[in-house]
Amino acid sequence: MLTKTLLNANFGFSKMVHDVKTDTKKILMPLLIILVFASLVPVYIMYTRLLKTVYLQLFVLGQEGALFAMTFSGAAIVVLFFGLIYAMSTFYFSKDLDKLLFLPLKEESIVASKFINMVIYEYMIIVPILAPVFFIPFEEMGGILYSVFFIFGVLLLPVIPLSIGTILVMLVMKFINIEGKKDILRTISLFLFLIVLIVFQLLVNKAATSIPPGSEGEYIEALLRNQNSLVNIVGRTYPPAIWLSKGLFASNSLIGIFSFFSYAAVSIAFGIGVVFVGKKLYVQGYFNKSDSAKKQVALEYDKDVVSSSPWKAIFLNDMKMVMRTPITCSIA
Amino acid sequence: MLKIKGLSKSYGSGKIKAVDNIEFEVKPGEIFGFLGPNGAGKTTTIKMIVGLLRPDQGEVYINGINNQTNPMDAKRQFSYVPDNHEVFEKLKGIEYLNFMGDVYGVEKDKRKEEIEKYLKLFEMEKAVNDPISSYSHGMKQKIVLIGSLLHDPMVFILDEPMVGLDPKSSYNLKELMKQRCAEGKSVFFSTHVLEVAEKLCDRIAIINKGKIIAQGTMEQLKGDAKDKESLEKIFLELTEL
Ligand SMILES: Nc1ncnc2c1ncn2[C@@H]1O[C@H](COP(=O)(O)OP(=O)(O)O)[C@@H](O)[C@H]1O
Ligand SMILES: [Mg+2]
Repeated sequence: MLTKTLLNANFGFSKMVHDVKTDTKKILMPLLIILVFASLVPVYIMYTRLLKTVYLQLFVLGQEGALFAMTFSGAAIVVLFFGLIYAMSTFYFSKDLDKLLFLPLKEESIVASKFINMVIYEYMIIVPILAPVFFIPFEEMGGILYSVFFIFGVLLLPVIPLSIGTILVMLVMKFINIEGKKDILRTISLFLFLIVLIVFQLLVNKAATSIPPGSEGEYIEALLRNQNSLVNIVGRTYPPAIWLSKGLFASNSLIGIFSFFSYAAVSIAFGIGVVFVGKKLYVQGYFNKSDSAKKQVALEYDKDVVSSSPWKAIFLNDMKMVMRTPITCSIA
Repeated sequence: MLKIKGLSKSYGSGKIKAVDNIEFEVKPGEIFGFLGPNGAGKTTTIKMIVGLLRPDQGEVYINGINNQTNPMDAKRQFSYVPDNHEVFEKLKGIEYLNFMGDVYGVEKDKRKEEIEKYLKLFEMEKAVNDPISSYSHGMKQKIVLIGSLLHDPMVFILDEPMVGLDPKSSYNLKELMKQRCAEGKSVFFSTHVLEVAEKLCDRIAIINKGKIIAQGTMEQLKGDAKDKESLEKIFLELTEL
């Protein structure tokens, strides 16, 4: 219930629908979003093709399970990256503890709702990334358990990296006072977002074009050949990805089932962990923050009351507005 | 109903003592006014009562329940209307009201009845389907008021409630306060306007620079104050011209 409200409060679906209804000019925003997505379609098709090629090659090498480990740990990194931004905005910029803390709500449920909110946000990113991974090996490995494991696996996937990101942000926020630096952070996160987008695009492009047509197979084979157990190598960087891969790869054996459940258990443990850490760092941090004094800078009439020509005044005003206006309300 | 014992709070590691050893009690069926000039410590006190600030010292009992040791139960006894009407801007009015109903576990039939009653009273029926971000200051305040009344709280706590309301809504709110008290519930609100407190309150506490300098009924205050001179000065500050 709280989760739903916060979701709506963050997304602003109601507001967007209302805006479009009352003022047709505001339809631009949703249109812009659609446009951005449309522009990503070719890249997405290339990405799917690339995955398929990689999979076929892995299959030849008898290591098709590595596809999962690769994409899952990749997705986990993406989740972590966006998680840092989301955690910043859902926990610290929204300032909604002011509006929630006097209500009869448990501190745990406040933190948990916010966390679930972020997990749902992350689905919008990882579901498109991972959807092809479900279908590509389906012919060989498909089955009921495979599907169930995959769906729950992906649903749980953001939990661990997001927990890590959230706790990191909370630790940083404990020591840094961000009051007033919000818009700078927003701007930085927008640029980071764009950079990631561009780098992703470049990588996919490069990978797709640097392979001579007709010999994709050899190219990737060369890339993969002398690595014994690719799953393990990829997984070493991010163990939960390997557990989930094993679970999917061997979904009809006991090892696979065991490995999936260990993945699920660890994810849930992280989820619970973040709630407790959040209660300590975030909610307690709120009380401590209000203890620290605002430094009241005394007004110095000679210095602070300044006069300037009208055009300069307008210019300075505009500068200040631009510097202090959140640019990416919709993204960060 | 609402009992405050030796409450103190200072900001900035003890440098600014915003609230200094405050004591008072609001009885059932009573409208209690918390009167003081800007910066006197009213908001700080109220935030400690509702659980938005931790007191340095002292205790708060709401309906006999300590708000530090048993916060969940304490929070169910009251509702709070803050002085900054920061609501979830992107929600529609009705979504916000439903959220409040859910938080306090108000049943559907009762919720419908109450929402209808108060929306009519405060003339918010037309606006309730719009996002709160499109509301004026006074409308935001009204939606928060309605939300806080849904569960029919025993103790109603308001921080500067009359600021920003038009005369008619302000009148309605005052009538509502009186009505609640007639039913044996309590109202506790802060104001910096002497006239409001004088007309509305059964008893008043006057706070200045974090200390309560007088409390009682208006007659008592005018009659036997300890420090006549400072009281008169405060009265002067609090009288609207
Ligand atoms: N977060 C804060 N940090 C430091 N000082 C504060 C803070 N909030 C309020 N104060 C100070 O505490 C005093 C009381 O403030 P407040 O309770 O808001 O007064 P009122 O609501 O009666 O106008 C003021 O001197 C104010 O400057
Ligand atoms: Mg105040």
